[in-house]
Amino acid sequence: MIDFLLFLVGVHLCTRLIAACYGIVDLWYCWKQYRYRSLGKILLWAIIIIAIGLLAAPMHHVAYIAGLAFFAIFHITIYWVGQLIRHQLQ
Amino acid sequence: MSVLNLSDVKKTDIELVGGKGANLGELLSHGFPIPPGFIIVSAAYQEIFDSLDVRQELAGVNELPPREQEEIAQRIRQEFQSVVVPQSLQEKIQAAHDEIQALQDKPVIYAVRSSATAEDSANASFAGQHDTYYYVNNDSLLRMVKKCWGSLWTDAAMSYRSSQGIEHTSVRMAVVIQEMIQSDISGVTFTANPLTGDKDEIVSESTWGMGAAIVDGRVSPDRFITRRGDMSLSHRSIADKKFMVPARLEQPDSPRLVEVPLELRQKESLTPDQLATVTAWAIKAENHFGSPQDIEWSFHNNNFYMLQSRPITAMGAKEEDTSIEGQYVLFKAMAENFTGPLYPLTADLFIRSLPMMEMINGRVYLNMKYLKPLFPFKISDQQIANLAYLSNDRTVELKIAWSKLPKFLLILIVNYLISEVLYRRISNLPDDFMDIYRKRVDDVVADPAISANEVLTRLIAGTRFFEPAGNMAILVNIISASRYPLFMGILTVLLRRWLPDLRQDAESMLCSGAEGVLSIDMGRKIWQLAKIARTNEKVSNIIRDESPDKVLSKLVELSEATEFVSGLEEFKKIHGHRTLREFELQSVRWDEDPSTVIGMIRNYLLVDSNPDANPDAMEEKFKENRLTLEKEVKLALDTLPFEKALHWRWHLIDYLRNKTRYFVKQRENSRFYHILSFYGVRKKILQMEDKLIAAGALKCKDDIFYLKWEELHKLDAGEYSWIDVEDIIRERRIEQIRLTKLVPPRTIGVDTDVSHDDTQVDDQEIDMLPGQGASPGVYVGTARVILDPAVDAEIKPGEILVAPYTDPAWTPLFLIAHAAVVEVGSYLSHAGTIAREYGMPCVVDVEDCTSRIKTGDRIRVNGTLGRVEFTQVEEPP
Repeated sequence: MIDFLLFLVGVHLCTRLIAACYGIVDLWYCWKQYRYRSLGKILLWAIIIIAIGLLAAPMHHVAYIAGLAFFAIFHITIYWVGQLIRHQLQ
Repeated sequence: MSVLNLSDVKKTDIELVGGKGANLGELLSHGFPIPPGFIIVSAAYQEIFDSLDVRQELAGVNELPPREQEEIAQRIRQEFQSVVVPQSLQEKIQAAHDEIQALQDKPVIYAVRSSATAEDSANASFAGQHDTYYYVNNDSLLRMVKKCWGSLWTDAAMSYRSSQGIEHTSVRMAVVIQEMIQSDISGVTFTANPLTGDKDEIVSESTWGMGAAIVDGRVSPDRFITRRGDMSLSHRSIADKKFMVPARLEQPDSPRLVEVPLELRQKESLTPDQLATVTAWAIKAENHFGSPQDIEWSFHNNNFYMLQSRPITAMGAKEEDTSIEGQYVLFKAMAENFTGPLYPLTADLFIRSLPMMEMINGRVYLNMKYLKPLFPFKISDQQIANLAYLSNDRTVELKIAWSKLPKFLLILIVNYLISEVLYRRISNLPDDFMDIYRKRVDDVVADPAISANEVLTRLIAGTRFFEPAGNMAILVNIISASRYPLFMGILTVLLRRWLPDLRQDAESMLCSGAEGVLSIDMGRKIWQLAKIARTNEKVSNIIRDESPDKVLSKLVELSEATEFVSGLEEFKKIHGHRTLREFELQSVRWDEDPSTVIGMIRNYLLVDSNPDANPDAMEEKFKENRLTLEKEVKLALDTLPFEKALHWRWHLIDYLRNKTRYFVKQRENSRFYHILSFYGVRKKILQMEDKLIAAGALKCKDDIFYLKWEELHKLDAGEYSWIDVEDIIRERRIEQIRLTKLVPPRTIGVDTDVSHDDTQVDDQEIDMLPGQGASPGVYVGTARVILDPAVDAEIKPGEILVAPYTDPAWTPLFLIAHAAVVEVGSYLSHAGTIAREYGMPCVVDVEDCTSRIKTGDRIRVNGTLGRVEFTQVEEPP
């Protein structure tokens, strides 16, 4: 059960970290104004991810990392799927 | 016998002269005022066809691949064009012409029409498939006759015959040659109402110039409905007839469409005497043929001419297309923005980018097979449709259907995985983060490798890696629309739990006042332009007195108008991509023609003197009310346990209302940006249109919107020519008019619950129109029905706006109105959002409100309960 919950936590934290990283792209046009906020967010979520990883017992690490990895891979894959859908629509 | 005078033809001669010829001959021989003419009988065609020796080639043609069929058809057409017409036939045609010419003092100009032997018969109608040529003089008569014969062998005609199981060689072609009338007024008359099927009503439509303008649907005609019993006029509407097709018998190269002189535009085109003449002849035609007729007619020098009479083939507004399989519900997000059908090109391109949608009769429907898994409840299909249509159905009792739950949860998880990152990304971005979308659209439009049909899919479904969120306007729109009701819902539940006695409109008021909503900013900018205009009398006089389409050209020449003109240019740079019915590619944008904006400025100038009309004052007043409410809520919350120390309840309420405001703003603003992509597609299409008109492949502006992409592509590639698309365009234009007049059903293929039967009218509903509350509050005032703000944008301060739909282009009217009633819409619709921002009551989804409420009626708009009541009916001013 804890493994499953940690897997979900891993998925969610990965969404937050990726979203925070996208802040650079989204706010690039006004980077000077928002750079500290953007970098701060990335740092915050990275620290949270690492902290939870360290706090979790080693036997649950696999589930946690699997959650993180699962979403990272999923996120990359949906762009490809999006491109495929676009080609089909055309 | 190969050439017959029209007066010698009877209706029994159909085998010889085709349906059209027989019909005209029958009318002429019975004294109807038909223009003179003659017919080259089908036997003449048959003789020439036999001489071509193509019968062997046609054997088994239906089994050949389409390309080979097209090649054969093309060869036959070419043979017809090059055939030498027998001398005896040429002489007879010349003799028939001489006979008509002898009665005229000017050279006779003809209309040359195909009249196939099976045409207009009960079993097979070849309507529109064969060619008709206008403005034909004696010199080109033979050439056009040969073209008519050849038109029996177009791809479309062959394909139609194949599909109907008609043997190609069994159909023959007569050619009707009839003098063209230089019409001063033209029109059509139906001896039964084609929309309602009411046989007591005779419907006449008329306009200036040639009738092609009405038949082709190029202009809105004047409309008269005469009661058959006492011949009284029961309806009369005079249209703003901006264009006409002039009679150009002497200058065949003159423009096809010209502007109607200003003094005639809103003048009725048919006098009572002329209407009586038209009606009398229409009834005579009906009596003669024994069934309701649709006649085309014209007046020249006040002489009446009947051009055609044919049976009315389809009657009644509520048509149900039984060929549609599946279940569909009208896509309200689109329906609430404009009520008309999409043009064929828009529909074709639009549907490519929306795979879950279906285009039915020009309207966008959601396919319910995709919707059902989103509702894991024990409810009927009709109730799902009601929920999907966002109607105010309070009868739905939502009980979980456990069997549907796993699928629903799976959808939720997939939705979370797909959208969560973007939701987090856009949750706290500056107001201008989507400004880069302009550049993205410009880049796509400027790229010659991207065709018009790819623009929408590139911009909507073409998200790339490391794309800034600002370039995903449509996704931002979807996510904002789905999250804002969530925050609003939680806020409502908490507020009602903690403060049950709070005023009913508290949530809406607390969530209003979002800064940076671009459509509201647009209204303010138009108001500011009016303020600038007001500072100079000459400028304001021109705007007030001139027709909006002439204002700008006059102001450009006026030195005092520099500030106003540059202000308008600035406005266009930001808001120029907007217009009424902005999802429609055919809609002319404000950037191209700012007449509508000028009309709105004019309206603001007209209400200048009334202090109630000042939107700044209205907003300020509403802001004060909101701040007062905030204080009341805080004070009331303070009485609850553990609140005073940390004010945690208030902070939670404040967080939720800020989130609601933020996503309301993003929903409106993302729409502002993603409409840019529609303008992008329009620009691409207009480029193609210019090219095709220059090449002669298209003849008129806007005709391009009646084609589908594949046809347009073939036209652009030179595979099609004008001849191939002329009839398609004409038929679709007529179809578009028919579709415009149809009321689209909310659902298709869904069993209707008895409890939702629209025909059951409660006694109470006679004075009360039920709807859906979109912005709370109650207001009593005078109704102002506005059907099209581009034509009729005059509303007085304090009046209630009654509209068929609204989109952002209607926003300026909300600045003056004190309440709104809208025929379609939902809580999330534009009307609701803007009304809440201005703190005015608004009821949406009020069926037929624009016809049931008249301008001048006194009504009470109850936005809290979602209903409109008549308080005291007054005569329209």
